[in-house]
Amino acid sequence: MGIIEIKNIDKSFGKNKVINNLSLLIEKGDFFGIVGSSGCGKTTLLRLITGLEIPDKGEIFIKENCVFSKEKRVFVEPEKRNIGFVFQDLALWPHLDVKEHLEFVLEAKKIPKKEREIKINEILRIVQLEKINSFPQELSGGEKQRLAIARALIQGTEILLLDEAFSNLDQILRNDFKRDLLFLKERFNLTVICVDHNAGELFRIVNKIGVMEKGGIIEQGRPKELLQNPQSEFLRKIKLNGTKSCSMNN
Amino acid sequence: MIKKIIQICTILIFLAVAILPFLRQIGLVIPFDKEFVSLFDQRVVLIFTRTILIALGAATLAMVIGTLLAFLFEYTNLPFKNFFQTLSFLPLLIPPYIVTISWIQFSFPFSIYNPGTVIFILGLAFYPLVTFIVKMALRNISRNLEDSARILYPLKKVLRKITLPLVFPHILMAGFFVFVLSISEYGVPAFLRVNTLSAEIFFQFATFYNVESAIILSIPAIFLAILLILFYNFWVKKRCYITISTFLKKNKEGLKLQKKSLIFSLFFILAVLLFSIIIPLFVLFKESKLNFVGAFEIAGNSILNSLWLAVLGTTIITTFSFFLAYFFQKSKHMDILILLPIAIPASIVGISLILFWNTKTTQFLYGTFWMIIIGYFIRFAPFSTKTLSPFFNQIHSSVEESARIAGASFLQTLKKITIPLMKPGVIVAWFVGFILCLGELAATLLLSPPGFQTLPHRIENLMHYGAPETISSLSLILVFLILFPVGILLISKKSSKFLNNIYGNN
Repeated sequence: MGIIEIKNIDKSFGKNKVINNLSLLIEKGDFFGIVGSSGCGKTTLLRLITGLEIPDKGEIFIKENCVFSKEKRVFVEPEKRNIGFVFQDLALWPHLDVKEHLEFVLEAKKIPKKEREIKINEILRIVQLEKINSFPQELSGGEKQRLAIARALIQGTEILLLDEAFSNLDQILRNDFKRDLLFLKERFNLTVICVDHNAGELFRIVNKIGVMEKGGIIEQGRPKELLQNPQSEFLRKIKLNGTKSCSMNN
Repeated sequence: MIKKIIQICTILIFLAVAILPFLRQIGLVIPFDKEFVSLFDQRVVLIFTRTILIALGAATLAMVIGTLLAFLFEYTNLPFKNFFQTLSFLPLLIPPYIVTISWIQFSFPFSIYNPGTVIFILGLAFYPLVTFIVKMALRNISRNLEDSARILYPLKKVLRKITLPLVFPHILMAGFFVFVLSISEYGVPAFLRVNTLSAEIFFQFATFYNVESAIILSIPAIFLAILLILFYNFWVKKRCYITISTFLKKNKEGLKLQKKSLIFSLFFILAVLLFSIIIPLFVLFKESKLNFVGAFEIAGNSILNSLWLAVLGTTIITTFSFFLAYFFQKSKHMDILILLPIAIPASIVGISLILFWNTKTTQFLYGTFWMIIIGYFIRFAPFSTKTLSPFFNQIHSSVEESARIAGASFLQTLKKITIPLMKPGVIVAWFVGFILCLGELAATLLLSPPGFQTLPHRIENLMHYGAPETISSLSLILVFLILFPVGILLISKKSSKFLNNIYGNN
């Protein structure tokens, strides 16, 4: 069993079926990229893993513990799953400064006050963020991203989910972010799931890729293998473009 | 060129009609050096303090009730939510002095003629304003801001630690509006014989004919108004993290109320509705003895006067506010000027206008119904402008620019593009103006020409010598006149969908 195992989940919003009988296995230490056109259900999949959305059917296991099962009537609340999540818009709280953001997380994890200062300084040093008393609106795009990562990592998670993490960055920041991400993955021994409609970015850093279409994973494997023999239209387009940073908005 | 001319005309008219009378009133104080000392008289200080305390009390009560209701409506699985939301909005439509008349007619075993009752009535009259603003703010909080905390904490704690601090500036903003409205309120304290600044100024001017004293007393109120508007613009507004858009997202609803909380919530909502609307209307209905025909005979003219005056006044206000919002929605300095009249008590508006227009050259206007229209304009143009501004924010400037590039003139663009797009906003602003004009009391009392009475004016007169059933019947007629157009708007399928979109019912 992997660190995350998803079995036959469905999710609909009204009449719109967003996730359709999706199954997925993520191994510990994977850097798993999920690509697909806009609206194919990538973000919903991440929200289902975190528990922010509840599936209509199926099962989800995290570290071999069942966190959702329709049949067994199991649902583990998001705050008990210990997953780090970097939202597409970063979702930084405008009324809290950098230090307060991190303290808020440590308070949730019941870390004693004495230890908080040390942990905050350590994570800020690792993500190279110095403006400890600045509010999000006073930070640059790159600094905001680093704060969002620091907030996700300071809780001591093994699993990091990234939703369209490259979309708000320019090319220089993207390169920096890719390098930082690989470093943090090794440093914290993370399993990372990263969704992006910009497939070109992900192909360069992940060790596994899943292609989503109409709410399901239609093919998955190692990036090179997938590109050698692409089954989906999505991957064929990427191959045609030579995995350049291409937006696949259909 | 034509755009510039209209813009300059708009600002000049606004300054001349709405701001100049107050500046002249401040200027009039200079000769009264003797009376100026009376400002520091113990009695004046007492009235001033009492007014502030009453306004603070009403604002606090409205903030507590309004915020709780907003959270209940927005986040919980409360049954009959849409029904309760619609009902809870009604107290804002009914003039608070009508509710006061009802409580006066209710036979209490104790005296209700005290500041506590004023706070109670004003708090319950204005809480829907808080509910409305906070609910809009709650809906406009990005879901991700809450979800990023939801990964760490249970929803209840997220609401307390993230959502509440995020909307707190909006709660303060709504409280500020209630505070300002309570300070300028004349009817409630006057009917309950509680001397507040607004009531005292009115009595000094209209009852004791002590013009100097009324003018002197109005000065701290005008300065307080200026201070409050500056505080709002430079402190409260700066702390608002959420941009409110007119068209709201879907209800968030995530908190499943347990049986105990559900019972408590329902009890709370019912108690609020009972005291703010159900009991007052029931008492009026009972006391009226269904004497509506007799009431019509007594005050038929006043009813008609109120209606056509409100229609005319509102149309003028909405038209002017349209341009005011169009040209100055993003101007910080103009925002201060536009909001200023809101904070000035209605009795001061009346006195300022009398002193400003009662001259030889302006006699053609003074002593006519136009004075009431100007009074309405000063008091309600800010509300109308503020109603229209968010609608203008929804229209991207490129929409107009593309029309101009295609060769349309400013007026053609206005007619074919801007006004059609703004139609929903104009309709809402018109109804807001109509409701406010119909219920206006204090300025109308001072500005009405001899022999001319509006319905609120007639009701106020009858409070001194009229039969209780006539007063109650006329009060109910006024409530009906106010609620009728709102009902039409709600029943009309298209408008109903549109209003739900704005108010956020699901």
